[in-house]
This record gives sequence, C-alpha cells and structure tokens, in this order.
Amino acid sequence: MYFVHFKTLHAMLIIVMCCFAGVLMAQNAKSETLRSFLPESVDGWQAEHSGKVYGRDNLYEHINGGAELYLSYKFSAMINRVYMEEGQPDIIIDIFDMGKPENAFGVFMHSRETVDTTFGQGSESVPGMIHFWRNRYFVSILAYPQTEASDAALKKLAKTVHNRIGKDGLLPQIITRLPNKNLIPSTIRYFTHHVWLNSYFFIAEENILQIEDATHCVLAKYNYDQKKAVLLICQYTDKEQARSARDRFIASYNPQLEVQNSLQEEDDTWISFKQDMRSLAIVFKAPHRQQAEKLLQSVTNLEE
Amino acid sequence: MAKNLTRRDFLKHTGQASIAGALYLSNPGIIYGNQSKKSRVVLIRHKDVLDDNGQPRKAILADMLDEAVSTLLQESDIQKAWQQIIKPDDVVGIKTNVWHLLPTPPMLNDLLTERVQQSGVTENQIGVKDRGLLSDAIFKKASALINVRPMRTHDWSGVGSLIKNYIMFVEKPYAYHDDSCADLASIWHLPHVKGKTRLNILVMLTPLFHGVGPHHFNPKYVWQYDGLLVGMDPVAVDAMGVRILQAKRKAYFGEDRPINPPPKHIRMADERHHLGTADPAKIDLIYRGWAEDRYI
Repeated sequence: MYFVHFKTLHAMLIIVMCCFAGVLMAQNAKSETLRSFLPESVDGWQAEHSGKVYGRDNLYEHINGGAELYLSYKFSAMINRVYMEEGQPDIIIDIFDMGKPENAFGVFMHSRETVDTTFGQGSESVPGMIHFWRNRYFVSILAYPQTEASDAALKKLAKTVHNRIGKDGLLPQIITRLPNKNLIPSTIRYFTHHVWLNSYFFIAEENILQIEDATHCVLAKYNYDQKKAVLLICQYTDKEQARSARDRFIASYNPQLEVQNSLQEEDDTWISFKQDMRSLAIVFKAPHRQQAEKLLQSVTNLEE
Repeated sequence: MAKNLTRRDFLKHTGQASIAGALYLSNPGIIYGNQSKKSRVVLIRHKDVLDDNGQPRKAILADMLDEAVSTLLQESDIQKAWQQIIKPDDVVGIKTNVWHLLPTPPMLNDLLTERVQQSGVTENQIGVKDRGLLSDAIFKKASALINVRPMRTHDWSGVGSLIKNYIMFVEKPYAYHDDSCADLASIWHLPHVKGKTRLNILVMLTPLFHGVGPHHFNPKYVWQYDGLLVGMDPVAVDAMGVRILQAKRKAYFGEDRPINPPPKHIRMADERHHLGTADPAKIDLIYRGWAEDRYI
C-alpha cells in the first residue's frame, strides 16, 4: 500500500515538475520574444536596462491601479524599457503580449478617439504618446513633455517595433458583422468582460447580458444626422446561453421587450433587439424605429 | 439591498439616461436611503492658485483651504474651526496620494500639517503618507485622519476618489478590485479606520477627466479647474467631484461620454455601506470663489 502511494506520489511530482518547467520555458520564450522587439538605442537615447518583464501576477507593480483593464483582456506578459538621453525626457515603452490579436485589438480600441494606421494595424498619437497594436501585441510609447527630438525618436521607435513584430493578426471575427453604412469606425469597442458594456452610455450596472470570458461582444456607434445610435452584438458559446442572456436582459431591462422587439424609450429614442442562434444584437438610442430595425436587419451573418 | 440599475431606470425617473453613466447620482427618488441631515460640501476655486508652471501659490492655496474649512464648520475664526476638527492630544495621519503623474501637491500636505500643528498637535504626532500605512508608527496609532487626494478618472474603479484613497489601509488592495471596486467603502469600516476621518479634501486643481494607455494618463486630458472640494462626508465630496468630471467630459467631447466603467463604488458607499450620501438632494453644496466654468 505504502509502495503504491509512493509510486503515485512520485509520478505526480514528476508531472508537477514537468508542468512547472513547461510554464517556465513558455514564460522565458515570451520574454525573449518581447526583448527581440526592442532596440538598444533610438537616436541618442540609450536603453537604461534590458527590459523588465511582468506577468499576470505582478503587472500591478508596473501600472498600479491600471492592471485590471489589461487582465480583463486576457493579458499574458509585458516588457517595459526606458531609454534615456541627457536633456531630453525619458522614453518609456511598454509592449503587452495579449495572447491573441483580438485581445490586443480590444485593449487598443478601448480608449481610441481617432482613426490612424501610421503604425501597426491601428495607431493613435497625441503629444508625447504613441499607441498601436499589431498581431497579439499592444504597444505604448511615452515621453513627457514632448520635444521635437523626442517626437522624432518616438516615431522611429514605433516604426522599429512595428517592423520587428513582423506580421499582422486577425481582427475579431465578430467585427465583420458590423454593418458599414453609417458606422463611425473609431467607435468600435470589442470586449469579453461585462464591465466594458457601459463604454458609451450606461446600460446596466450588473451583468444583465451574462457576458462571460467566452462571450465576444462588439459595440459601435452609427451616425444618423448627427444623432448616434449604438449597436451591441454579443456572441455566446451556444444557443442556450444566448437564450438565457436574452431572457435576463428582457427581465432586467424592460419586460415589454418580450412581446415587442422594438420599443420607444422614455427619451424618445428606440431600442430594438433580436436573438439569432448564439448571438444577441441590440440597437439602443436610434432616433427612429425604422433606423433601429434596419440597422438590426443589416447585422451580417447573425445565423451561424 | 442594492438595486440592479439599468439605463431604463433613469429614463423612467428623469427622462434622461446621460447622467446615469456618470454616477447615477442625480436621481434622488430611486436610489438612496433615509439620511435626514444634509452633508455639507464646499467647492472653492481661485483662478490664480496656480502659477505659470502649474505649481500652487502657497498664499492663495492657504486662503482657499482656510476659507473652505471655515465655511464647512461655519466658524469664521479659522483657529477655532480647526479646533473642532483636531484636538491637541490627537495623533494625526494625513493620508495623501503619491501617484507620480498627479500627486497630492506637497504644498497642500505641508499646509495641512501646519494647520494641525496650530491646533496644538506636536510635529512628531503627525504623519503624511500614502504607502506603507499598516507599518507606519503614526498611522498605526492615529486617532484622527485627514484624507487628501486629487480626483482623476480610473481604468477600473471609474474614478480615483477619496473613498478609494483608503485602499492602502488594507494588506491586499487587489482583494477589493472585484466588481469594479464596488466595495471599497467597506475599508472605512475596518477597526483601524472607522470613525477616525475628520476631513476630506478632493483636490480639483488639475483633475484628470479622461485616461488613455497603460498609465491612464495624458496631459491633454488634465485641465486647470483651480478648485478644492472639502467636506466631512467622503461620499458626498466624491459625488460632487464626479459630477464635475462628467460635465467636463461632455463639454470636451461634445457629447455624453460616461465615465467608464461607472464609479459604482461611490453609489455602493452610500447604498450598501452607508458611509455617507451620494444623493445631490441630500448634499448642501456651498460655492466659494471663482465661478467661471464651474460645471456644477
């Protein structure tokens, strides 16, 4: 009996050690990949260190208070490097490995205000800052306060990292469902965590659409003569989950939606929704009923 | 029990949901408890409080602080006003905020220290700190706390608030991150914190009204508001701060742009934890000083 237990214990120990070694090797590989994106210098700026790597368990050490956003987009690893040049602001670069391109896209779009593709698959620049995403990486480069030289160095560094990442990644499939007509591209938001449901306006405090890790959601604004409707599409893992989310939404938001798919709300805008197979699509704040229903009808490929 | 609020709750009660994303705090009828006494909050502004480099001018900041405290306590003698807050035998912890991109101005920490000393507390019985409170000799034995921090938007809790500033009073701050930090106010009921806070100052000199990137910061989204919000009730002060931020966002973006995620922890501080009131109908907001672009 003791012998059996010992053998079992021994086997378990080997399995645990193998798993641990595997995790370590994977982490090292990620670290090395992230390091390979970073040059030793940019213009006159020299790297202060080889790059500090953070994981899910210690990201908060680097971005205290801000880690949860990245964790909610399934963050995997990050490298931080600082470049210094006398008389110039430090250049701080953070490259986030988000595991999958869709997560890098999601975290990039989270606070995007403008449409720009100077770097990566989408970029945004404001004085002293460049953000972009490419493949599964989200890149942030900062230098405050901006100088003429630091601005040039920021752009050069962004270009270098863009090139070293190499390949583009795929957009989340759910994005392709957004109708193009009247779409305001900079307003697309992609997420898999319910807390981002209220990105444009307050929909609900609780998770009334039952958005879980495997639920893919997209929000976008549509322009109708300066008035903006918001389209939300959530894609669940199966039809039952979608149905359950539909029922919860109706019960929590407005039970009248059980008998009418389109309703005029108290602010005179229209809400309209439909469930198709494992997806739920809802239009909020449409100026007219026809606009709400037409937008909903033009959501592509809702049948899987 | 906390109500599960939706956009429709606000539409039904106010005809507009735009405020809801900000805070759900403009809607007295449906949310709040039965506090009978109004919480007094003083908003004081001075257009010259910051110099050309963005640094506070000490004399003006001191005047603002004194006038705010005097107004709050309804005591024209500032010495007597402070004596209502701090006793000579108090051990005083000034809980500041050191976030490097928008810290509590050190000058304000210094002014508070001076005022506490003028109330009769000796220098070695006063501590000014943000991190490491649990092992700090002064904070461990503090009988009185003063809470002072700048307001800013925040990626997970909606805003960096007075309520949130006390997260350093717990060993594992991440344990309070669930549900976008909804239960931060529970920290205020811990034995080493409960009932000790004598004054709350939300620094609105240069608030951050929108955040971008990993550090949730860009100077583009900091604006010179030149104000302080001062009160005894941290929930009421935070609620007023959020309304100002939300109004600025609307003015800047040209459309309703709710703080994202909604600062649920402020409403929960009222409704679930009964720390104070977030209901404007139960807040007596008193204005002092510069009124232009006040947003509230």
